Order: sequence, then C-alpha cells, then structure tokens
Amino acid sequence: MGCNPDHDPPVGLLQPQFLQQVQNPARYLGLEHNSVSNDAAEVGVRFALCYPDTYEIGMSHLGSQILYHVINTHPRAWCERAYHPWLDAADLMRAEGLPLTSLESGTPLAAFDFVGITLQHELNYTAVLSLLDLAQISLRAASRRPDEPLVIAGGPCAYNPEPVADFFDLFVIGEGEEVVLELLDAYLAAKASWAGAPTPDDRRALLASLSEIEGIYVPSLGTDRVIRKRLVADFEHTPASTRPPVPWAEIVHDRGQIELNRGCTRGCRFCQAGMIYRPVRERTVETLTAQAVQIIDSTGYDEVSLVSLNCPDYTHILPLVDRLNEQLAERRVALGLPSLRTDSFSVELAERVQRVKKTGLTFAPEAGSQGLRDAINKGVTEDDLLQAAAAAFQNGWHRLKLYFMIGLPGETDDDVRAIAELVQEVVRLGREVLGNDKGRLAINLSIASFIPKPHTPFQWARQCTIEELEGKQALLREALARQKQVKLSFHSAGQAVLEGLLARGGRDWADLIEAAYREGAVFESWSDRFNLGIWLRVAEAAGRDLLAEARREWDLDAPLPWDHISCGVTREFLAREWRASQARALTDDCRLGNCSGCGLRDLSDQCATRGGAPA
Amino acid sequence: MMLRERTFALITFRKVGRLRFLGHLDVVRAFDRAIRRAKLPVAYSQGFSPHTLLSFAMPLPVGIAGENELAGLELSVEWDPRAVYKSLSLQLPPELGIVGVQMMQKSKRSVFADLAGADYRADITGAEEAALQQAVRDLQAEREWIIHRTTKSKDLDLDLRPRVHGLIAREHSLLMRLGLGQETLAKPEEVVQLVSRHLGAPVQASLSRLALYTERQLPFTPALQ
Repeated sequence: MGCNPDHDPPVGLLQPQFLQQVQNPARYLGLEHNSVSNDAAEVGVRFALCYPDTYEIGMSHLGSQILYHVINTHPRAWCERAYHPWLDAADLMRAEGLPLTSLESGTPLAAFDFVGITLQHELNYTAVLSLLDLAQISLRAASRRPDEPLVIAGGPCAYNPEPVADFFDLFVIGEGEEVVLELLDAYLAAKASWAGAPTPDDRRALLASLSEIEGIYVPSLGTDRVIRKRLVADFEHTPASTRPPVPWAEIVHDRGQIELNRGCTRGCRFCQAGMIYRPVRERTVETLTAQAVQIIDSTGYDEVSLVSLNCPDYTHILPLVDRLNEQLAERRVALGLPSLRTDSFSVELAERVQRVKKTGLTFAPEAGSQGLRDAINKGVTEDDLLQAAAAAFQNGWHRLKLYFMIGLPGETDDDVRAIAELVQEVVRLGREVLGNDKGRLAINLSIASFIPKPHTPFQWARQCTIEELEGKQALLREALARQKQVKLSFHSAGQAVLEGLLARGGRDWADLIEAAYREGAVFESWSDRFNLGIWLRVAEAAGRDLLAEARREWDLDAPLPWDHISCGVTREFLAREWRASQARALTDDCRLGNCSGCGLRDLSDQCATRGGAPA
Repeated sequence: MMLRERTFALITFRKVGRLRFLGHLDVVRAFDRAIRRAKLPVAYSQGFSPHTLLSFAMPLPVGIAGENELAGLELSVEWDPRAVYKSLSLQLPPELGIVGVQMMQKSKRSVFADLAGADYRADITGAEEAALQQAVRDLQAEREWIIHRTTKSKDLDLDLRPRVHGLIAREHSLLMRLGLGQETLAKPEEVVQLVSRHLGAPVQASLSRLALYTERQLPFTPALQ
C-alpha cells in the first residue's frame, strides 16, 4: 500500500466539522490507493501538483498522473496533489480562512517548494487565480516573497504563456517528464547554497539558473530569447503512469489509460494538438500490453482506454487490441476508444475493441462540405463517413456520436447546411440498414465552435462573433428540426469567443483575468457558471471592447504574443498552410506522403521523414 | 445453474476516521476495485454487462462511521476465508479495513434480509457528562418521543420511542440500539436531537454504527451489551 493514515491533527477543509458541511466530501479526503506517502522531514523538495478545476476533472488527466509518478521517482522529492474545491467548499474555506492543502499529507500549499499548475484550457485561468488565492499564495510572481513557492505551469496553454505570464514564476514548454527532474536537481543545488531562508537575491539567482534549462521560460526575464519545447528522447522507455491514485469519488475518466503514441501528422489546420505534439512517436505492443496489465493490477479498474490523438494511426493497432483482449477479457476488463477518424477501418477497430462491452462510437468529420474539409486539411470524404456509418450499423451499433465544427475560416451558410445534409444522409442510411430495428437509431450531433489557437495555421484567422456563431446554430437547428433521431448539442458561443481571446492574448490580459476573478468569475469552463457579462464589464472599466477585439482581423506579418515560444513547427510552415487553406489545397500526412517541411526535422531526429517513426 | 456451496463470503469491515465521509457508492466502488486487485476468484452476474456479485447490508450515510459493516461477495470456487481476509486487507487502508470474513452457504434469500436493528454510538461534545446522563434520564421519563421527519415525499411527526430499543449515556457518549426496518427506522441523529432538547443547547455529535443485528437479536457481530 502506498498510503498511510495521517495522524497529525488536520488543518484546512479536512477537519470533520467542515467536511460534514460540503457536497461530496470524498473528493477532499486523500488516502486513495496508490497515493504516495513520504516523510516530510526526509525529503529535500516538495512539489504540489495542482489542477485548476475539480478533483473529478483533474484526477482524470493523464499528463498529471504521469508527472506525479515521475516526480515521486526522484529520490529526494515528494509530489502531492491538490485540486480546486467545488464552490461550496471554496466559499467555506474563504469564510473560515482555511488554506488549500495537499491531499496526501494535508499540508498547506504555501509551505511547498513548488506549486505546479497544469494549463489544459484557457477558460481555467480564473480558477488558477482562485486556487492560488485559496492556497494563500501571492497571485503575482513579482510580489511573491522569497519564501513562497515557485509557481510553475505547463500544458498546452503554456505554448502561449503571455496572458497568464504575470502569475507564474516559470513555465515548462513541452513534455515535462525529463525537464521536471532537471528542475528539481537545480532547485536542490540552489537550496543547498542558501544560508537559512532564501533572500530576494537567492530567488532571483535561482530563477536565472532555472531559466538556463532548455524548455524553461521565466517571464520576469523577458521575451527576447526563443524557448524551444522539450521532447522526451525515448518515448518507448519514458515512464508511464501504471500506479495512478485510485479515486474514491467517481471521476470523469474513471478508468486506466495507456498512451499508445504521441503526436499526429495528419495536419488538420485548426488543431493545436496536431502541431505542438509532433513528431509522432509510438510504444511497442509489448510495452503497452504490460502497462495495461500493470494498471489493472494496481488499480482494480474495469476499463482501460487507449489514449492517442488518433488511435487508428497507431501502426500496430489491431495486434495491440488483440493482445489486450487476450490479457484482459477474462478479467472482465473492457477497452475504450476515443473519437475515431471517419472510415470503415475505424469500425473494424471498434468492433474488436468493444468485444467485452459495446459502448458508443464517435466520428469527427468536423466539416460538412468537401470544400471546407479540404480547407481544414481533414482528409476524409463524404463516402468515408457514409461507409463508416453503414459499417457501424451493420455491426450492431445503432447509436453514433458525430462531431462537427462551425465558424471555420471561409465557411458559408451552404457549408453549414452541408452538415445537416450529411447527417440526414447518415439517418437515411441508418434506417435502411437497421430495418425493423430503426426505432433504436440515435445520432448525437455535437457542434463545437471553431477557436483559433496559437501554433496552428489558423492562428491568423478571424474568429466568428457570437451573433455569427448563433446564426449558424440556428441554421442547423432549423435544418434538423424534423429529424427526431438526431440529438443536437452546441458549445456556447460566448465561451468560444472568450476562449479565443484568451488563447491569443498577450501580457496585457493579466489585469483583466485578475479583475474578472475578483468579480466572481471562477469555473468559466462550466457552461452553467460561465458569465461573459463579468468579462465585458471589467474590460469596459479598463477601456477595452472585448467583442471588438474578438472580431478583429490578424495580419500575417505582425508579431504574435507567442513568437518567443517554439514548438518546432515553424511560423513559415504555418503561414504556408494558412495560404493553402485559402486555396483549399491539401497537404500530405508526412508519414504517408511527402515531407511537408513543418520544421520538426530540425528539432528531432525522430521525425517521420528522418526515419524515426513508425517503430 | 448448479448451486455451489460455501462460496459466499460474508465480510465485516469498518469505515472510520476520515473515510467515514465516503458515500455508500464510493464504498461499493472501492470494494469492487479492491476485490479485482486482490485477484479473488469472484463470480460474475450473467447478461449484457457482467458485474461482480457484491452486495452490502445497509448503506451508511456520508459522515457516519461504521465499526462492523457487512458486505457479501460471491466467489466462483470454494476459498479459504483467511485468504480472503488477507488479500483484501492488503488492498484497503486501515480506515476501510477488513474486520473478519466468514464463508457461508449461498441461499436464495439475501443474508441481509433479516437485519432489523443497529447499535450506534454518538460521541458528544458540548455537554458535561452529568448533564448528559440527566438528559437521558429526563428523556426516558417521557411517554412519547416526538420528532419531525422530512423525507422526499412527505413531512411527518412521529413517535420514536417504540423504535428505540435501548439508550444509555456513558463517557461523553450516547449508546443506542435502533430499529432499521421501513416502519421501525430510527436515525441516530434524531435520538441525539431528542437528548439535546433536554440539555437546553445544541451539541456536536460524531456518529458511529457499531453493529447490525437481526430480528431474533442474533447479531452477526458483537452487539451492545
């Protein structure tokens, strides 16, 4: 067992008189199986790994599970976890002056050496401030005392750190597994040189020395130097999370996860993950099977999901699924798949994966018309989708989930109507194939709004306004009104516009984010909590018109707030792709065709066109 | 289907300390996972999505501790109860520890169907020992113990007295034996409320269920003396 009961009198929310007042206290208790205990007096550096959302969301995040494991392998470090409490508990903590504490030892976060916060989503930014505030840590890096923790961020949003740069002492750009250990070593070395409590000079010297580590960005030292992302050298042997803490409360992804591969070279032009995680690297079937068995043995989960930006692209996907079924089916462990590329191979794959339990099937064609699919470089055709849907219905699925996006650059009303036409065609096909069973046909249609993201070809795109997005939603609602088998759901247009603003914001956003937080904006990613009005008000008070900023055009040659952050894909390549999109020209997947010259060749010798992958 | 003998493990466990704040479903999930980690030869239900045949006696509310809670697990083969005890104990923290395991013959009727009562302890803060003793004596002098209970469907006043089979005050605690059935249910917090009326001030109570027992007062587990 990894955990021992904590015998010290608890501080913070863990006191029984407070636990009995909050909803679902199971998420605040700690003591989970596989959580790591240690002796605080014996460790040299303490790291609080935080997620700026609830336990249920944060515990589901694979990247955090990996870092938790990696930091705890360091002989002198102890990594603990903390999440943002739900609003009732947060209010109680504020009213009673209770500090946010770690789950493992119940230690206030302010007593840690590092407080690490993962940035998965721009709409979490106010929750970052709320979390720091609950932890009683100064919000601005510039005003932190030398004995306060180093507050550090990582994750996809760190690829444009500027909107939140003032709140962090440093950022990790890229994959964290190796660089976090280098950080801990450098910190321990610096700490050994301090005479007692660190002085302001000690802290400045520490930050300067940490900034010399590749992939570390220290915003207080300016933006002159280009920070190149970190990549793990050997993905096959990079530690995986095979002993994740097992939650008491039910979480969003309540299952084991194995990471088949990293990176994707399909080159969808809206997709940030497809750019920043390059190059493609894979694990072997042997390694993945062993990891899946270890996870089940160590957690007791009844499901393992395959994690990949695109599972069918994993070179050995069918042998892997067969091996996993062989090892896990008799233990009644099911396999899970994320959304699939739209083709009939995906259906064959799903058929094999869901042998134990047939759950849903999800396709993401993203755009309704061929012209627009070409513009976003989504290399699928209408025939691909219809064949995939037919195969799914023939193989016993009667419930499909389809993802589309509206508001893509260059989209016309006809493109939006094409989504409805394509869906109607899927419904017609479903009724035909299912025959007498057609009453069970159900299509869940999920419509997201396009959000321009840094480091993508669409980083220069003008984002649609709320009115435009809502007009497109209305068009779809009307076109599909009579399809009772289709359940239509939309992402909120207001959330999409704010996310777009934050994603492409510069350092001038810090004051607005803090002001919005002070006005009560927390959990902006929860649609029922989202309040655009707060943001418009605080911006107006600062003399800014956010809606005008959101609809502005972007100049291809103007500097961008994230120019000093390099993910390996060059700005020249992105500009070329942006122009290709306007010409509706396709670009090859470099694993299947020609090198597209994205720039990765200069960063990594594992790039496909340099013979690195597939394994 | 062939009925196998002695493949039903009756598990006594506790839910104490900080983990008394787990909800019933959290406990079910934790046991399901602990059983899979322990690699016990469990039996699965038939049908579309087979699940472990794991059952629990009386769900314990969030915040109430349990010293001798009961769960039943069906195994696919005969198994040594000591092995069940040992392998499960390794998979659970002391706050959700295994107290004992007993193998039983599986019958059609749930072994938990006869449970009719439970013993509770309420550890009281905010009252002197002598005052607590006096409050219990005063309460016992009353013919009816009327409390107000609000459920999802109705609001009612009811007399708790026939549902309370024993109540004593001892060392800053109330010990009580209460009915559990649909028509005989008394909640420990209701008894605390009755006692606190005679104390003249609200008190803080930390509640534990000590044992569950059957109609015939034949407890599976040690009952209140």
